[in-house]
Amino acid sequence: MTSQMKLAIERRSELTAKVKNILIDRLSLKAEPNEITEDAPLFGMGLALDSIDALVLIVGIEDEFDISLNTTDHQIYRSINTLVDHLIGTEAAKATHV
Amino acid sequence: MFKSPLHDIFSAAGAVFEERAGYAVAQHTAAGIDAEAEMIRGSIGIWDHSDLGKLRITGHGARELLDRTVTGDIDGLPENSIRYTLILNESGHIVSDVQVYNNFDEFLLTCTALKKDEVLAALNAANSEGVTIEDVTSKYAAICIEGPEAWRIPSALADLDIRSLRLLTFEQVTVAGAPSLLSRIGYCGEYGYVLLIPVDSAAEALRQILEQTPQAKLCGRAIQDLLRLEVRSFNLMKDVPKGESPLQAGLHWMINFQKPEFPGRDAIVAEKDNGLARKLVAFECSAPVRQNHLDVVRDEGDPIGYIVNYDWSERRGKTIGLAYLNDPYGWPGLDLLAETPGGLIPIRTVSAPFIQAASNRVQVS
Repeated sequence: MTSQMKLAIERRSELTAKVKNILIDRLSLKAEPNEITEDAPLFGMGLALDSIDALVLIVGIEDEFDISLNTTDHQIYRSINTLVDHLIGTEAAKATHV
Repeated sequence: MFKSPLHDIFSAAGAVFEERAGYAVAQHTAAGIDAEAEMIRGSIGIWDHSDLGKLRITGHGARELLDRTVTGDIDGLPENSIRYTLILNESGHIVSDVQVYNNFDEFLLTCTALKKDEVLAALNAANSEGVTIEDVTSKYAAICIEGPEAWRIPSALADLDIRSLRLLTFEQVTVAGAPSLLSRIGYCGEYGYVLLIPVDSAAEALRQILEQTPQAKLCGRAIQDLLRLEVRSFNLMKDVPKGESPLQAGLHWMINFQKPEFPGRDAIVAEKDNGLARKLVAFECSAPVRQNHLDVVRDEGDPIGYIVNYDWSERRGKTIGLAYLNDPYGWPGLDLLAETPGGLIPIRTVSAPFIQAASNRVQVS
């Protein structure tokens, strides 16, 4: 494994853990982080969150990462993985700006 | 081979049938699988799933029997609701995915025809209280309706305010004069409904549907595998070919870890606590790849996993698939290599789903 891939995995793992903790804490889910899978749909079948949950989750992520999320781009909110994709993309865009 | 009550209607549409668990199942119609995929993704597709295993569970202790047999919560399942969950064996491997309907004083369990006997055996093994378990598979047809405009059919057919029928709920309705169950449960990520109707009335019901909703077209079952893959909907026959555990397959959401008892609980709790040796991850690559030509996944020459399910997605414009990758490779965003008979090709792990279902952009009116 290249060092670049190793770093990417470590960063992805850290961000995923943070998003899972926000989900559990803010929505008072009765679950441990290792009981939530990253690719499961957040809404409908899967974690079965509703629109109120979505708002709470968005506020939690905005607070934690000091960012503003686009609430109309549904692709961001498909799963924990797609949320983390967005966070990684936001980090990369910030780094390019600096 | 057993013929569905809808066999003649599908036959008239040029359907090609194959045997599946003793049933003649329509694989595709004369329109072809590409046209059928466009129908389900763009408008309304209807397919016959009458071979679906259907078990009626009644009597004192029915709820408790189901609760200690499946991995999901049946104790708290409200009336007119459906739990999509799993049955495991004691080793924690998947016997089948099942849908449990709470229909007032009785329960209905549906599962793939190929696993019905194993599901029945699991229920019988746990049935210490004399609960009645009846195989009603041959008594009811199952008409599946899916697509971004699929909501139009139940509205027209059963005079139902379709907005009140939430995902994983159902209503008792009368269709073609027959008492039926209409559930909102889909397979391909679009608006999906399943009509369970007595076999004697099924053909008439399907004729009414096709007359009332001309944009709806008949489809076969062959295209379902790709449509499910596009939204990473679990596919029992494709996603766990070597008896991989439900946690490795990412099915945590179908398991209630708070429950104290169900077959396989100890095994999967131990696996969860020890960490997963491998995870099922989505991947894609630009090149079209023939079926059965993708196998081992490598990182710089080292084998790190294997591919279990893939196909070309016209909507994605790529080959899409799922691979079990050893820890710590089970993450999106990695550039890896897949073996083919012609050599190694680049693949990239990605987040699921591969496409956004058209129904997500449809406003039901």
